[in-house]
Amino acid sequence: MNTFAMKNRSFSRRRGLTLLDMIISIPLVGIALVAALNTVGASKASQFKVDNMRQGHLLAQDLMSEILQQDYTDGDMAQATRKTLMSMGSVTYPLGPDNVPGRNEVATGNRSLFNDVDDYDGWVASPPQAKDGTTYTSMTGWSRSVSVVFVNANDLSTAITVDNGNKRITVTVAYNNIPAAKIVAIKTIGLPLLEACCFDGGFCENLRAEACATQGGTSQGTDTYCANTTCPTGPTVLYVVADTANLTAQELARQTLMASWGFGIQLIRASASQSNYAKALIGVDVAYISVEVAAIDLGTKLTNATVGVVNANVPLISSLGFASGSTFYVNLSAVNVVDNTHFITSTFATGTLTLSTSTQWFSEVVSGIAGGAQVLATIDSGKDSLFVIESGDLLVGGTPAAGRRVQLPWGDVSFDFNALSADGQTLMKRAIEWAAQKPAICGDGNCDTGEDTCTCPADCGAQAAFEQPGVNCNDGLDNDCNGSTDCADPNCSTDAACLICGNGLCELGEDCTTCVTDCLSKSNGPKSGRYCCGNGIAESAEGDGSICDGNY
Amino acid sequence: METTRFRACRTVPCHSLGKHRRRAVAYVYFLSTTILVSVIGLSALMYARIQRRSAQGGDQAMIARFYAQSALELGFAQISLDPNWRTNLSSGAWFTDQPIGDGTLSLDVSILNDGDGNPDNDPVLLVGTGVHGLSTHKMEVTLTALSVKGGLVAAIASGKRNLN
Repeated sequence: MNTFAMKNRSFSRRRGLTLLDMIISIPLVGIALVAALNTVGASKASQFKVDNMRQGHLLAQDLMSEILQQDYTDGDMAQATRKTLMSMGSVTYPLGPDNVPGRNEVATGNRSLFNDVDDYDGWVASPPQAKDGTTYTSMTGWSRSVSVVFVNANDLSTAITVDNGNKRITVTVAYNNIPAAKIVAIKTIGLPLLEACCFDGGFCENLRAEACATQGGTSQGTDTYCANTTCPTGPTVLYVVADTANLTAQELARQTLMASWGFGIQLIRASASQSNYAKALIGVDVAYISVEVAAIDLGTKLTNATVGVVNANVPLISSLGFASGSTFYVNLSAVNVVDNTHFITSTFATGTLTLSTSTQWFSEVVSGIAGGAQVLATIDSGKDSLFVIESGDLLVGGTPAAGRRVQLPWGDVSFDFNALSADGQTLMKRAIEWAAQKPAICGDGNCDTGEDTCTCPADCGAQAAFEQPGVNCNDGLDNDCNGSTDCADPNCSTDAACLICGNGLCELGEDCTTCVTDCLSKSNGPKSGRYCCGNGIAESAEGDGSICDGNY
Repeated sequence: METTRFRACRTVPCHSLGKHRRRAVAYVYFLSTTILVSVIGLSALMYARIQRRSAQGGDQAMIARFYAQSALELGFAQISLDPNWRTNLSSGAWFTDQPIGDGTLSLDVSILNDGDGNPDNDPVLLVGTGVHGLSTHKMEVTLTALSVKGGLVAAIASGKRNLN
């Protein structure tokens, strides 16, 4: 036992480390371990930085992409105007979200109402949030800020104070106030967008909105192209209905019929405000009031409209100034045309005209018709039923009509529109077409249909001194007002459009080159045309040879 | 155990050999642990560096893309603000290494002959180049004429952009 114990003790002594070993090894190992652990720590820290950087760039990219999708500006200034001002270097406006009546973009406290690039100027959010204000989760400590400035295209580093079409956007992302990422990008006024632009007759052209207006067309709005737009071939009608969102079957039938005529149709609710009517009337040619409209809803909103008004609503006769007396309805199917000299009735003979396929309630004015009214058809033994008032002629009360007016012979709510006969439809179509035309009033500043430089130089410009070949000999106008138009005017005899090759006459302007049939080897007419000068043949009568192949 | 241990001692005294071996083993243990930790640390460091490079490369490419897009934007503005751009601006570089942020942008424009004999209708190719760090991003847009009216050229770019 003793021996074993001694052996054991000896073994234990041999097995352990000496103090010296420990003293040397512990610092060495410690140093090595610290260095090794530092390496691990450094790698961890580096990884953290990489993660932060990546996170930061993703956040910056997210916001920058959102900003670049916005428009350059709010669009509250016409692009043409803006460009003109830009060219003068004088467009200035505060950057940042708008907060003006009708456009408070900061109302929500988030970016949901931001709609142009500079709305983002000064935007700061911590933690970051989506456009609708939803806060990103697990983003504590992160913040995003945006700065937007005007810059010149040739110096993107220097901010300027005027807008010349370029904005520099800088998105900065920070983590615990230490910048983690920064992205810079440029947004410019960009390419102008084209819109379908409709012209009279249904012609369509893709144009910028301002170019469309300049050329007298009607822009069809953003995201429209001629390929997906059918331009009206007839007038544009402001169709007044009871409820634009819920047309009655009768209103719908009327709309369908007008559309089939190629009329452009713009609906408006009868109860719309006067200012909305004013805006709507700008782009239309004529207003049509359906019988479904409650008189109290429309009131006098169209009484002074400068466009034509076609009324099929008898309760509105008084407020529109058509008549002040009583009105009645009579159950029948035909009216009596008493005046077919007017455009509306000119396709019909005077006398009975059947307007409906079954008896319907037609309207008549018993008394108090406007002084300027021209009655075209009557019912019930001479009571006025269909009548018109020319622009400028007197309405009830002696006020001149601001535009053309038509009172249709139907106007009771029980009138079945589907019962309208073909002649009835024609009457309605022509009534709208007539009311849509601007009357030719010389001196009103418009060169209207029927006016020209001869009949109304005040509106159409001074007449030309004479018809001029190559200038106005093919425009269908008697420019010098001498009673001869284009080729009929002797002044146009040399115009290319007036030279008739093949009529056997070597006319002024024709020669053996341009019209060999009429001019070759002719002995009369102008010298240049008598023989073919330049054909290489010395023809006998070409003269002395100083100019031509032969002599003349 | 003892028997087995002493059997291995033939040329040197067994007690001396065992003592040194045990000491050496202890050192080897320490050294191995240290080396292992160092290798792990260095590997992690290296991995982090690679990751960082990779992330930086990705970020730079992304930023270069924004610069390239900005170059095209500047080209659009030039076209938009100058109605006579086809006359006033010739083919070639409209911008070259224009500084933006920490990088540069360039824009090259070339007129593509569509063979219709009307140069006012020829398509226009815009190539925007953004450079950030080691990354370069190119982005191109072709503007194609839609129609001509009143001397104005209407064109549509790839996508939804168009011009008149």
